[in-house]
Amino acid sequence: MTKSSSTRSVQIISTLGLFSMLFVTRIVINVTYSSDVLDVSNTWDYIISALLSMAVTAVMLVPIYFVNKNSHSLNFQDFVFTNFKKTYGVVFVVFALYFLYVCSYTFCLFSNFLNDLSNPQVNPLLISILLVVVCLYGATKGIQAIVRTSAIIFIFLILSFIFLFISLATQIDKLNFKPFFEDGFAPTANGLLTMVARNFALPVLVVLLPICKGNIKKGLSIWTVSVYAVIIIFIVVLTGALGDYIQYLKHPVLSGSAMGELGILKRLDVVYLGFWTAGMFVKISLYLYLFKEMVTAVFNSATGKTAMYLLGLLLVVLGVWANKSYYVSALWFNTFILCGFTVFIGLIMPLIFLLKTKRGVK
Amino acid sequence: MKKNILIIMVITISLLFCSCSSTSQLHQKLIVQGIGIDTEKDTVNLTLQCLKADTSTQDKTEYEIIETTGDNISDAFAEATLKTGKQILLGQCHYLIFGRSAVITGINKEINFFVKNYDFPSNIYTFVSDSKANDVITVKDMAPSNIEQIAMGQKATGEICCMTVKEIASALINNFETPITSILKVKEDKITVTGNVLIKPNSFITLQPKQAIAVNILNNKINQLNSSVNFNNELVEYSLKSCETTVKIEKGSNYKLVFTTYAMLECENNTDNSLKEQIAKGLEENIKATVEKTLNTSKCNVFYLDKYLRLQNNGEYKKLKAEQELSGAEIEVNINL
Repeated sequence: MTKSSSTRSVQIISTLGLFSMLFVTRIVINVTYSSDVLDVSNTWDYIISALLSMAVTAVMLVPIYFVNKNSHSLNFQDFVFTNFKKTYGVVFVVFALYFLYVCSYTFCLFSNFLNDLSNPQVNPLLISILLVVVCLYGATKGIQAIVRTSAIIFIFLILSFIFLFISLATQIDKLNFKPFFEDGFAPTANGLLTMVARNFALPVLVVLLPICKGNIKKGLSIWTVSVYAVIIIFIVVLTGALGDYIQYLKHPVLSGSAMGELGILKRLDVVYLGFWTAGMFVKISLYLYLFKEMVTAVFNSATGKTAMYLLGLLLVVLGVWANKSYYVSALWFNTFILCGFTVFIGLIMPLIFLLKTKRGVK
Repeated sequence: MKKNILIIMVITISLLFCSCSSTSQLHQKLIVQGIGIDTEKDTVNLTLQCLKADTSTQDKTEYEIIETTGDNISDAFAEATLKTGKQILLGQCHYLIFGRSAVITGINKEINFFVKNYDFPSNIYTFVSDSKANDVITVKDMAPSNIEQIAMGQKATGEICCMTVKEIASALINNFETPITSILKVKEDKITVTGNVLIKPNSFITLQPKQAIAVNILNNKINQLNSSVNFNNELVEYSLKSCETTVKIEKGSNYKLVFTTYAMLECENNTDNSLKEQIAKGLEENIKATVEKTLNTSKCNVFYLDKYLRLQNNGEYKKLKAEQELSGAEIEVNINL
């Protein structure tokens, strides 16, 4: 039923490529940050959440790193086949379900974002359909193509952030900063929960680290620190520049980007939106690709592709449904469910893998 | 097959994203450059200064005035669309003027309408008309640049307090702060600034230009102040450079506010200590009187005192949140020139 390792074509990716792709996928989700998902009136406390989340991420990375180290150069699929001889299907299905969930979560967020902001003359549904079509195309091209594309988008994304930070920095008022924990620890805890829940990259690392060549330890460290450093800079700049005004905004990052000015350059939010949409493409393509790989591992390549196309269709339906139904949206954006799933796949599963290798941490 | 799919995709994308299928030309849009809002009992009267896109040239810009009425601001804008048959474009708006009646009734709903509109630029200046907003917008040869120049006076003279829509919205949502902005009056077809107004419902509290200087100094809104003083029966011109004020809030039986202003004095005779003392004393009296008037008499906080308190004494700030009261404070002003 399954492809053997000898017949499966293994695509090798570089550490730099992998981590720049994961940087794009992690950061791009923050720009869709909305008051639907997280309270916007206590953004300042999210600095502590980010620092704590960075520590949690670092801890979660430890078993992933050692699983990869103990995998004897086997890729993820072969590692699962070798160590879970009878239950390998369950492992792949669990991972496939997670990638499906992340894909639909990201897409619903983006669809929600578009619905709120896009020009009424442009139909968000059509944009959603086109995005899914392009992402499906990207996913069929394989991981190397996604990594290469993300490298280009990574550069533009970084440039857009630098420009955004500089343009907003002049508007920072120190009076807008407030003491931490002013409204208790609840905002920090909520922020931490959301940030940990959005560690979608960890299960990706479980799957992709074995095909990654380069200094993994260095890559993991730089990626973790840089991702949270950017998140913290975002919080500082937005809180300082927007102050109490942030409470009016449903999408503070995009609204903040509309306020940034640098000389004659104003209202560059449309340009930023273009780069961020490109980042969304990388993210959705990556998870569609990983979903396809998991289904392929259980069944075959044709089934994997069919499942991926069906997932694409499901994304469009969910995107529309989540925007129209409060209950679907509440269920899909439930941070507890998401956090539980992420911790299970990103921490518990790697720990099980580690135990299975029977070598443990040296 | 792949090529055909790609061609279909390219055509679809270009039609959808370039808006070729539902394009609207400039003359089909109502390009709003300025908005005036007057309220009467349960109605909102809008005066829109719009760009005439079809007749404006590079050398000459022409405007048209659209006047509409509605039960609320959304209705009034909807009527503007119906009246003109054009799609409203708020992204090019340069100023917002509220009529006197609107300020007295309260502007929260209107401000909320604008800040929730993603296209609306929140960094434009807001003014208040001495009578009706319509009177200011319909003045002869009125252009958005005239109004923008008035706002520039804040930094140049310090006698004007101007707030952007974003600043006013922030103050309104905060509950402890009172927005302040300039009052415009039309005199012989010219727009002049007569003073400043504290935006507080059911009142129209004004501040004179001299008091605006105090507000701007305390809020660190002016870096340089040019003025003159009568010294030994001679008018001496001076300028205060690098003005910076720190605020300290102490809590005893009552609040004590300590304002300390640092500035570099530049004048012909700046070695004379008695001149320095006279300037410092004048400034001190002005600041003290302004704080007394705004905070203790009018119960308006235009100095972001809540934010200072939040940073300096968070426990007291939380009490303030419950009591909603900062007036009756003892005021101390120190001027270091």
